[in-house]
Amino acid sequence: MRIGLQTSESEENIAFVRSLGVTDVVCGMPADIDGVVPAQAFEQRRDHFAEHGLDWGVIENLSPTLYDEIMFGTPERERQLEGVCRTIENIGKAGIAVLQYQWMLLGGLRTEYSPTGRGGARYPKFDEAIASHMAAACLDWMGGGRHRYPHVPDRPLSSEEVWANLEWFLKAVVPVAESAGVRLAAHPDDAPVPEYLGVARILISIDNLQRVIDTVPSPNNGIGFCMGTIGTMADTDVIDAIRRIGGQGKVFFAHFRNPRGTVPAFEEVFPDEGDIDMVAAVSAWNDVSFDGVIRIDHCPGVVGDNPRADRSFAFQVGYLRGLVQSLERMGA
Amino acid sequence: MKLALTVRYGYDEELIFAQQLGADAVVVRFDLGDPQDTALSPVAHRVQIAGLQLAGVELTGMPDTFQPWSDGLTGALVAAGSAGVDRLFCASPTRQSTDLAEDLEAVMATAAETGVNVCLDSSRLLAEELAWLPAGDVHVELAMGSAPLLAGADLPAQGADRIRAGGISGVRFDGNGQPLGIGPLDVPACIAALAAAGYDGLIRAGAAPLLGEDDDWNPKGAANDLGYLRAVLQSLPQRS
Repeated sequence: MRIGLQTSESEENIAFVRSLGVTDVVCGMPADIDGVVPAQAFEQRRDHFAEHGLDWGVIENLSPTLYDEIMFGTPERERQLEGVCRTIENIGKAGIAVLQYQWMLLGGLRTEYSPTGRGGARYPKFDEAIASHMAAACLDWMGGGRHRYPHVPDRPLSSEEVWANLEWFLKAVVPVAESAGVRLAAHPDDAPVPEYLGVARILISIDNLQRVIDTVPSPNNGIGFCMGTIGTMADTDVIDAIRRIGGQGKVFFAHFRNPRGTVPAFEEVFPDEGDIDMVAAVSAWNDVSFDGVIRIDHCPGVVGDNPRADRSFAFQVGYLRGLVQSLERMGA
Repeated sequence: MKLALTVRYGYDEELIFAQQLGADAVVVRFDLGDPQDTALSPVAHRVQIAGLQLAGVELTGMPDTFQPWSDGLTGALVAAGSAGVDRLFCASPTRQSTDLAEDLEAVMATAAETGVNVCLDSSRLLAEELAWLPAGDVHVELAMGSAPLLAGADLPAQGADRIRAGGISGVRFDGNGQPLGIGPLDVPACIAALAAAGYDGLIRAGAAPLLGEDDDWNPKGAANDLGYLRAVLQSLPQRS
């Protein structure tokens, strides 16, 4: 596996990534022009990273505003689909291997960011009981409140509708991704609850992630394996899940995070203290010969940290590298 | 093994940082040359009340000639004994003589009287001095990655030999400006060898590397190194 970090194009951020000895970076998409991100925009960003010795191999994520009408299945979806397909082709032209997307119609969900962790560290939390009182306030977690996505839904959507919309999307874009040489990685629903505000959330179990893979069998159709999200799924063993999905070669990208608890209530803790046995997890990644990027995911808030949470990310990079090297060098 | 983070005396943020990142203990750096570091007596209390364990006090700012150094250390030992500090880490001064037993006589006597362990930095000892120690309560902190224990194929074996010889009160991993896990120092192999030799004491990282832009105590580098060491320790049972 290759340890990755999310970064912007800023010199300060890049300097931090490089100083950690990390060379694989993950970054979001440049701005679109009328629903299409031009190839040149990807190439410029790719080249900027390359000039600093960094390899941009994963886009995280397909901007939801490019395909939110598709997720909701509105009449506008045909127009958006054209833009998504052209964007995927442009990603391929830029030589970027993996495009992660998610199918959360209302985005990610958290209910707290409170100083109740180890030594007063701030832990992002989700509690369904609290979420039921927060309603739309839950939707701001991903910072999408200023945009049209995510927004309070116009109507309820059943799981059948949401699945149908995803299948329509996959059948249209997977062939394009194959031609473009881009691998599509579906991120599970975080928090993995079956519905929120009357809208179904479908990627909430390993069986359902398998259904994504099986819907359109293709070497370019796979999973963005978020250890934190999968660790909070009900009745789910993350190690088994790594072996099941990773053993098929269907993990195109992974997130390194350790939660405590599962739905309906969980919190994101430091990687050394969560419910997942991270030593066993890294061992499982090795067993399935995972050679993709595993990105350090969002993490607890540490005293005095900057807005990018460099201290917290540095701790996690060191932790993951320590596990990887221990297992590699000692043969465990 | 117990994982410690080195923090500066009087900087509460660093105590909180250590606790949040899961350090088992802290080594408090006390600068004898800093007019604000006037007394050892509050150190143990402040660490305890912050919810941490005190693994020892690291004395810095000490004279670099032997007699003033020895005088300063014996004075610090007396202060430590009455302040509930049971271990002092320090670097020995540059010396001309290698007759360590004679030179350290006063230090050894005071350490015995006060019950405070002295832990000398191996990177500042001559090879023959390192071979001669421990002497009474004067022990060694093995600085893995710094002379004379430089990174190399036999470093784990050297460390294990030193553990078996006894008198090791701490092990420090020096990345020498790089994050642990990046340079030539094979920390997992060293820790495995130390554990196999029966070591169950304190480990910590050396001076934290500067990662990008950072505050003057390099917390990003300290966080990386602490996380790295924690992971190596957690993987130990898997190897046995």
